[in-house]
Amino acid sequence: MKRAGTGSEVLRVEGLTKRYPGGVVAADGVQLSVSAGELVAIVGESGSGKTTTLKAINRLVEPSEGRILFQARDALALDAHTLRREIGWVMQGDGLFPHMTAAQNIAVTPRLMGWAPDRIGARIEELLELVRLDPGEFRDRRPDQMSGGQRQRIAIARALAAEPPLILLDEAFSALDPVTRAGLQDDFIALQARLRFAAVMVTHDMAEALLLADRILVMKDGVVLQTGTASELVNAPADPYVSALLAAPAKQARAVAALKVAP
Amino acid sequence: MNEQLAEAFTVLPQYLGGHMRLSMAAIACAVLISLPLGVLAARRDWLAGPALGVAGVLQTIPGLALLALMVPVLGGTIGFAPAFAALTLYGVLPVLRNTIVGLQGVDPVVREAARGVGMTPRQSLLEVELPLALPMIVAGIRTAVVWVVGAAVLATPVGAASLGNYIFAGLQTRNWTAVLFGCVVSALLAIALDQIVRGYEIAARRRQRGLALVSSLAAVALIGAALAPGLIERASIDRIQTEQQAARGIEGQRIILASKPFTEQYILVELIADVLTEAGAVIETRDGLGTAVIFDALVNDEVQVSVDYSGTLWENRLRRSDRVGRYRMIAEINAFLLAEYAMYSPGPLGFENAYGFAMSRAGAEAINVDSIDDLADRSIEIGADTVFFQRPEWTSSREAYGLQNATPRPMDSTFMYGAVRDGQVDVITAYTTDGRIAAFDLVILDDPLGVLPPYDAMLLLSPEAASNDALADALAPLINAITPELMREANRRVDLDGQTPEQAAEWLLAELSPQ
Repeated sequence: MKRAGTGSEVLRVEGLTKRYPGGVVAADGVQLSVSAGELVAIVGESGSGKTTTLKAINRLVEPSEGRILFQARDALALDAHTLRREIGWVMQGDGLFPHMTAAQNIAVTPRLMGWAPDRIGARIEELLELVRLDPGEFRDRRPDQMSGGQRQRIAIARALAAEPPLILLDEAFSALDPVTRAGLQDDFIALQARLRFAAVMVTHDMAEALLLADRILVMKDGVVLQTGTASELVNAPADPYVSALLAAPAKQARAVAALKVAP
Repeated sequence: MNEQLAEAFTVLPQYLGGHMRLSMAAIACAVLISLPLGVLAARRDWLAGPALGVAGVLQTIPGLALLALMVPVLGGTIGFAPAFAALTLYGVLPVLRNTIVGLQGVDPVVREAARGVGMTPRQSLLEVELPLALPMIVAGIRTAVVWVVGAAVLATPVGAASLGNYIFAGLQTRNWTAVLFGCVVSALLAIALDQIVRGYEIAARRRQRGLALVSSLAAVALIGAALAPGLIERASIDRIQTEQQAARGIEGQRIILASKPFTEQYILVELIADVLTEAGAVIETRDGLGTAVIFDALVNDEVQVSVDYSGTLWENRLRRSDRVGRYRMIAEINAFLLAEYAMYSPGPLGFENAYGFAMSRAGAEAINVDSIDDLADRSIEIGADTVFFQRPEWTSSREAYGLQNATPRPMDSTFMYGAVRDGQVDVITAYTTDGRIAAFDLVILDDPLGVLPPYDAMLLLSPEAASNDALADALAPLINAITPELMREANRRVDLDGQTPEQAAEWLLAELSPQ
C-alpha cells in the first residue's frame, strides 16, 4: 500500500486463543498489532478463525486466553459495551437497524455515549458528506429505501460516528456488486487517509486484501500462517497455502492483461 | 317486537358498560402479564415452552367452564372478579405467543449489530428488538381483544353484567329480539375494537405516528362512550347510598337479587324487585347465575335475596335423598341453613316447581302410558335440562322404574317442551310450573313410588339480610301467596305470549294485591 507512515499503536493482540466447549479451537495464539492510519487485513476461508479473531477484539466473542490492549488499556478489563462504543463496527450485509432512518442509525453510538443533540446533528451532516451521500436526500431514508451500496455507506458512517480510533470491518464489502465495491473501497481508503483511524478488516478475498491493506495476516484452522506486507507475501510466501491464495488474483490479472490489444 | 327492542335499548348502557369495563380491564391485565413474560421467555428457551404450554392449555378450556371455575378458585366470589380473572387468562396466550415469536423473529444480524455498536442487552431490547417485534405484538393484542370481547358474554352466568345478559335471558324467556340484539352489539363492539387495534398494527408496521394518534382518539371515544353512562349511574347509586347510609331498615339500602337462568326465576326476581323498590330499597339484579354460584354468593352476602327450591337444597346442601314430606322438609332445610350459614328463609312462596316426567298427550295415549313405571324397559329418549342427568333424582328414578334402556338427551330447558311436542324426544322432565305444559297439551306422568322430591319455591336471605326485619316485613306479602296456577300463568305469558319478565311480574303483583 501506498500511504504515509503510520502513527502510534492503537491495538495489540497477544496470544489470542478461543476454545469452544467440545474442543473446537477457533483461534490459536493469534498475534496482531495495528497503528493509527494503518489497515490490517485478516485473510482466510470460512472456518479459518478470522471472524472469531475480529469479534474477540470488541468482545462480541469472549477470548479464552490472551491479551488485548486497546489504546494501551486492557480491553478484557473494560466494560464490554463501553469498549464497543469506542470501536467502530461494520458488518457484512450492513446490519443497519431497519426501523431507524439513516440519521438515527448514525446517531446510535454518539447517543449511547451521551453526546448533546446538536453535536450529534452536526456530526450526522458531516458524516453523510464524508461517505458522499446528500444529507438532504438521505437523512430521513430508511434502509429499505436505499440501495446496497448506499446502505453500506451509512453503515460506515455509523461506525465512524463517535470518532473511534479503531474500525473493525467484517466482510464489509463482500455482499456488494464489483463496481459498487470498488467505489466504496476507494472512498474508504480516502476516509482513512484523512481521519487516520486504525482498521482491521476480515475478508476471504485475497485481491481485496492486496489492494487495501498495509499488512496482511493469513489464517488457516485458527492459526496465523504468515503476517506481512502485500509485497512480502507475494515475494516470499511462507506456506504453500499462502501461495495458493495468491494464485487466484495473479491468474485473473494475467487473463485480463492477455486480452489487452496493443494500441 | 318493537317494545322488546326499546326494552333492550334501555339497559344497553348498563350491559355495554359492564362488558367494556370487564373486557378492557382483562385485556390491559393480559398485556401487562404477557409482555414481560414474553420478553423473558424469548431469551430463555426453558421458559418459552412451559409458558406457551400453560397458556395453550388455558385456551383449550371452554370459556364458560373457565369463567365458572374462577368462582370457587376465588373463594366463591361472584361478579367482576372471577370474570376478570378468567378473561385475563384467556387474553394471555395470543399476546404471549406473538411477543415470543416477534422477538425471536428479529434478524440475528440486527441483534449482533446492536451489540456491536455498544448497546447493553436492555438497550438492545428497548431500542431495537421490541420496536421491530411491535407489529407482531400488536397483532397478538388484536387477537386477544377479539377473543376477550367475544368471551365476555360468558360473564353473565358468574354474575357480571355484560352483553351476555341479553343472550342468556333472551334464550330462557324466548325473547329472540334480545338474543339477536346481544349478539349484534357484541359483534359490532368486537369489530370496532378490532379495527382500532388494526390501526395501531398498521401504524406500527409503517411507523406512522399520525395513524397511531387517530387510533388512540377512536379508542378513547369508543371506550368513553361505552363507559360514561355506567359511571354516571354508578355515581348516582353511590350518592343515594351515602345520603341514606344512616337510615334504618331498607329505605335506601342497596339490595342485590340473583336469579337462575330460567323464566320463572327472572319473573320472581322482578316481582321481588317491585316489592322491595316499593319499600324504598335500591335494587340490583344478577341474572342467570348457576345454582351453586348463587348459594355461595348468598353465604358471602354478595347477594341478599334469591329463590331456591326445597328439593334442590335437600339434595345439594343437606346431601339427603330420603323422603320426609313436603312441610317437614322445609322445616329441616330452615334449621340447616340457620345452623350452617346463619341464613334464613322467610318461608315458601306457595307453589312447587318440581321435575315431572311429561309426554305429549298423543304420544302417551299411543303407547298407553300414564305413569312412570309404564316406561320400564322401553327404548325411549328422555329430554331434560343439562343438570338433571347428574342429579340423584335421575339415578333413583332410573333404578326404581327400570329406565335402563332410556337414552338421556340433555338440552337447554327452553327447548325441551317443543322437542317432546314435536316427537323429537319421547319424554321430558318438565318443570311442573311451566306454562307450556298446558299450552302444548303435555301430560305429567304419575310418580307412584314418590321418587321425585317436592320442589317448593323458598325465599332465601343472606346472613346479613336475615337480620334485617324491615326486609323480611317487606317480603311477607309474597309468602304462601303464589299458587301453582298463578306461577304457571305468569310463565306462560313470557314463554308463549312474548311478554317480558317485568310485565309478567307486574301482572303477578296485581293478582297478589288485595282487591
